[in-house]
Amino acid sequence: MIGIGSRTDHLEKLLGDPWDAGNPAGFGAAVAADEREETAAAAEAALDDFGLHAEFVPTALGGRLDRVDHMVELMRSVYRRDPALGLGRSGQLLAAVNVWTAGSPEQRAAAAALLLDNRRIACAFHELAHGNDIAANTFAARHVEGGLRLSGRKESIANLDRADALVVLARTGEHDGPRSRSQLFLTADRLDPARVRHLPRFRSVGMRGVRLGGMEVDGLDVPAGALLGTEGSGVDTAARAFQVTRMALPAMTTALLDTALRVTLHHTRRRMLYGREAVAIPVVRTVLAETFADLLVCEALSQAATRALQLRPESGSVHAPAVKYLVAGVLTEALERLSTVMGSEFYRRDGEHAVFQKLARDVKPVAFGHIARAACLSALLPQLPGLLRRSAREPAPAPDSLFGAEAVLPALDLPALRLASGGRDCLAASLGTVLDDELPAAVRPLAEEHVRAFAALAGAGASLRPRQLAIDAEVPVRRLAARYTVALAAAACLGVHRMAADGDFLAGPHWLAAALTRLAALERPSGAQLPAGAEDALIAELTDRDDRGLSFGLDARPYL
Amino acid sequence: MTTFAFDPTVPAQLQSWLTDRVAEYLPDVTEPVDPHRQLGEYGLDSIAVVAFAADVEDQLGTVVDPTAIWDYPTIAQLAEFLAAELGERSPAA
Repeated sequence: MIGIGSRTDHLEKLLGDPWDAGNPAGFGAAVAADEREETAAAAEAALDDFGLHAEFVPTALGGRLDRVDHMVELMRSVYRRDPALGLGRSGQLLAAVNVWTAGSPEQRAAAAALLLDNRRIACAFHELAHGNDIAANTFAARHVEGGLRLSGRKESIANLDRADALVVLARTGEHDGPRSRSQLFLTADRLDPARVRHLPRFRSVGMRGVRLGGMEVDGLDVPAGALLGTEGSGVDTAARAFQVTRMALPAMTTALLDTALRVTLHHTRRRMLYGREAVAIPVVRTVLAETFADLLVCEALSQAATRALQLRPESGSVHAPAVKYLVAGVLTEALERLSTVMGSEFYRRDGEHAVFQKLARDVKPVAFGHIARAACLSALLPQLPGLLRRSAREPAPAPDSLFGAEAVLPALDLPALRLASGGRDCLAASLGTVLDDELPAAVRPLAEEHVRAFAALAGAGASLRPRQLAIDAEVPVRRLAARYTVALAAAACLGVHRMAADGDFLAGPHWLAAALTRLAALERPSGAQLPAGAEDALIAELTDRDDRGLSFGLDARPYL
Repeated sequence: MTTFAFDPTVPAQLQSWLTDRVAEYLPDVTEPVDPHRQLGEYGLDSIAVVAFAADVEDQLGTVVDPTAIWDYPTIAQLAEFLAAELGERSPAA
């Protein structure tokens, strides 16, 4: 298999320079397609030429997926041009990971063959009435002679109308509860038009190029062999499989912020205000530098979490909601702040920066699509007391392979993922040892502040009563779970700094001081200024990367 | 690992401990938990199941997946299952 660096370079070339107004897969084409609620046809064709869906198929099944972090980095080349183009493709993962986790050899081979042939699989779980409470879904599969009979509605499902196969969540048991739900793998030829009515397309504010469909099914018979995994394992399978997607999809979306930041930088470097470049105005500089730090924070946490999924899979049930909660929150907020710097240019649907208004809308679903940020806190909270107890009891440095450019990871083992971590979280445990490392003088007090905050969190967690952790948890209790995600991100940034190669920007003190300051500001929004020197260093790096056409994320890899 | 005032490999003793423990997670429970009644009927929701499983795992020092509570949804069934799991481990573990 061709290495990840060559694959990302090749994909960049196929999609071409997004700033080139004549590129049919560039920003201009993406904006024009968005106006039609589509994606650019030339960009879709380039992705098919590349065989993009092979990136979602494990190598054991003939695809190119061997590392989740590599898949994420490659998809950033798609998301940075048009997030809807990216989500329209990465949405296949929601279905695929369930097949890889629980499918029979035949089902896995069938799903792999479809994806390797550039075809699509939709994940038909969602019912508008039940939101993230998938164990309450009402779409039913009843036993009948020779198989199962399906009835019910599925709504707001990406690519449903052009999928070649579906993974469906259905009620198979009489009683309430997670064991009464099963997953089914159906090829589209089973959807008898006499029994399946497609619903009108659902319209959306952002990600308009992603076709959201629905279906109403009335007595469709399918063979019992359509079950994915054993009967009653539907919620169990999803709880494991979705650990991948709840990390990977927000992680891909950091490329949306890369483009928003790049557009803002272009605009403010060219715009003259009050006799100077807008980028020289202090408030503009500050927002640009802080946003750059935010982007690095998001990538540090998501890189550590996606690698831990392979290296320490027991923590996935914690890291997945943590990544989704923190990354989605930071990205959403960052787009808001960049909008203020863009001024009226943010409001335009034409001109060379028109892609910005699209990004400001496209970022919205990262906060609620797949799983809502609020539901992520609900998922973290019941594990919190055990996580805090264990990390205080057994502090240990995080594995080197979670950070750094080079890492060797074991194969992704989806069935081995657990529904709960048993309090094991290698990132949280590392907060007990990070101060033992050599730290730059400018960074040490900031690191100490995060370690103290984590100790205080452990203290607060120790006094939590079991009944306080349920779905009706009080707001101050839910904030403890949010603080936990901040601690994980701080640990990830410290790890990235520790493992960075000598002379690399990431080995220097400035980005880390800025990152830790920004993370502290998530808890105490008032008055957290970047340390002296950090802002200048970040702006210098940012403009240098912009001039050299490098990504703004951890990898600083060539972007066209 | 915690030292117990009871033998967790004996289902009856484990059941009694679990009965007290689960009550901490149930909203508005005024009477003793019936070990033969489904925990879902007491209002133990999917999130509380994760918390309860994590707690039992921490206390017993053995892996308790939330699915164990899905599959053994009464305290009596859960006690029998966990006691067998614990009994299978070598006494020195």
